[in-house]
Amino acid sequence: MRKGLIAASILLMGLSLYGIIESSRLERTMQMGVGIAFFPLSMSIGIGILAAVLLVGILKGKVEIKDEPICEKGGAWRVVTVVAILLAYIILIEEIGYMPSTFLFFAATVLFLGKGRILKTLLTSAACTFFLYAIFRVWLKSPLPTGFLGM
Amino acid sequence: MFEHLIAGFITVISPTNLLFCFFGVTIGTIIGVLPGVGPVAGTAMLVPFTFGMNPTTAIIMLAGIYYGAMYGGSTTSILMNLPGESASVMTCLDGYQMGQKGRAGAALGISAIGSFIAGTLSVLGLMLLAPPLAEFAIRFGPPEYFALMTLGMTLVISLVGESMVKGLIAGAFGIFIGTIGMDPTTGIERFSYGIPTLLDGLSFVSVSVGLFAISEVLEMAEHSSQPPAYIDKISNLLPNREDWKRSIFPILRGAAIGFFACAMPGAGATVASMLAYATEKKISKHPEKFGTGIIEGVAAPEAANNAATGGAMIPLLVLGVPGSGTAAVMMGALLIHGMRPGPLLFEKHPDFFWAVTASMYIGNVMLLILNLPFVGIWARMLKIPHAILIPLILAISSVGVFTVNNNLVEVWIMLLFGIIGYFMKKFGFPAAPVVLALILTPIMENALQQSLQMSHQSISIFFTRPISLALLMVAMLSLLSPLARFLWVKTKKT
Repeated sequence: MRKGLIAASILLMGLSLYGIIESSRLERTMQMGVGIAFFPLSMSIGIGILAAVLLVGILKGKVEIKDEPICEKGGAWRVVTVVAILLAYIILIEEIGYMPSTFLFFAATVLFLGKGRILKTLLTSAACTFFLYAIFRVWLKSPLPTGFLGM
Repeated sequence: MFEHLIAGFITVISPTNLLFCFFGVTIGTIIGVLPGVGPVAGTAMLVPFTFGMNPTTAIIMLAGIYYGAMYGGSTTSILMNLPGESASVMTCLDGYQMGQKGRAGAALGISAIGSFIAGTLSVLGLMLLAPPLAEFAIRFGPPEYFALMTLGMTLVISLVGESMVKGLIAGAFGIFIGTIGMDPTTGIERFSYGIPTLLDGLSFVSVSVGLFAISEVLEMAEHSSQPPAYIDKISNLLPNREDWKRSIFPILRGAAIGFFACAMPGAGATVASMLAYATEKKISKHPEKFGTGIIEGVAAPEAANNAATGGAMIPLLVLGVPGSGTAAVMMGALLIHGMRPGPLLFEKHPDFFWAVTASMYIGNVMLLILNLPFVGIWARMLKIPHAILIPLILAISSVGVFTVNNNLVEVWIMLLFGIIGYFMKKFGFPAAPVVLALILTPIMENALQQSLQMSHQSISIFFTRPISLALLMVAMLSLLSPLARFLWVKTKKT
């Protein structure tokens, strides 16, 4: 956890630096009122200072850090896989449309997390896909991505 | 006032509003029961469902989710020692012990009845306090608004989360991302890099669904095991005479603590329930019995966390400053529907305020009916395997966020903030200040610019007007209080 928090502090200092550089490019003063760079610039400086305070606190041992790993054993693998499946879903939904991509998304996630029987998984995935379709498309009349398959 | 309230009731009893009130409290109860999915995540996830509704129906439903979750949260706390949402943590202490002694029914009963009494009293408080406060706040100009929003933000930052530094970083990050998009005064782009979706700024729906719902689901996916469902029969839900005698004053005190604690931005339902529990323990003749399964330890925190929802509506609807993550999501939803919360809401849309207030009375009755006889059904909700719940939440979130602008960029933003939110949770950074700041930044920036225009660029305007000066001083105090506490402890040691 300690190493992770150190990395987070350094990342925040990087974000602060990015914010300072980008905000400096914006027009800083206007004829009336504060400049458009005032908020982003002051917040970037603030994030940088606070991240430095946090980093010093961690290094000096003044910040309370839980003595436990960031993830439980095997947890990181499960999180990364779920994110990867979601990523694939977002890419696929535009390409092949809502119906097939949502069905595939459900099937892949249920199979990965549940390790259940194939037929049960396929039936559950189909039911969930139609359930969401009924809510969003039929009831709420929201347009859903159709992709080249038109569904 | 009563004419308005009756008009509010007439609005609520329309079939559509009743249906969505019922839908909101039912979904809220489910969200409260399921550990991991809190009211903020649930409310954020369901905002896209409200796009086709009128603002009154939308807020009736979202408010129903909020107070419904408070009812539902107690079920798993009492039956399984597992708080369904953070405000039910204190209920675990005595509620679970009561269950172990075979008195789960009485604990669930007093929790539902206490929640009903406190919820109803808090709506009464909202009804009585909101109009005079709005009348006072209507005199606020841009400097007072700027100071008020600064105060709201500093209170949330100082009271939410485990560390002031982390809260401040989260708040500053929220303000920073709140400046993305076209500046409303000059039309100059900031950090949008030519991406059309970003010209209007980051959508609060994508960010809040990512930070609250996706991050929670990722945390759920991380754990391989799932808590077992409660299978024992639950009986004797109605408290006996002795239970009533011991619970009625803790319920009334809990209601008062919950309402007033949350009428101030920052102290959410969790803080309110902790305060109520601590108060009961302090004034009890037998404080050593707390934690062993006494009914006062269930009645007080449950009353407080339900009364908190009515209290939280005051800063949100009257002042336009949300005091918690869920209130921030509701404010975002209101803005999407073209309603600007604040004192003018009373003048322009009194029908809206009174309809939402009336819906809270009706919603509390619905919840009492839902939570007493059907408690067994809610306990069985825990049987839903995570393997189905996780993709279901992810798909609802993704499709819901897509419908914000019919644009997949929103879904990418949601995923990005989901990952950010997951790591924020891991490292103890609170997410509520980020969403609060994201929503308030454009309004705050506008108020700052208007104030400086009024004073010909002099910041003295904030210090020469008594209300803005007082608000800024309290904001400063809230930020400096941890430092003062630290110095005081240090001086005391030496």
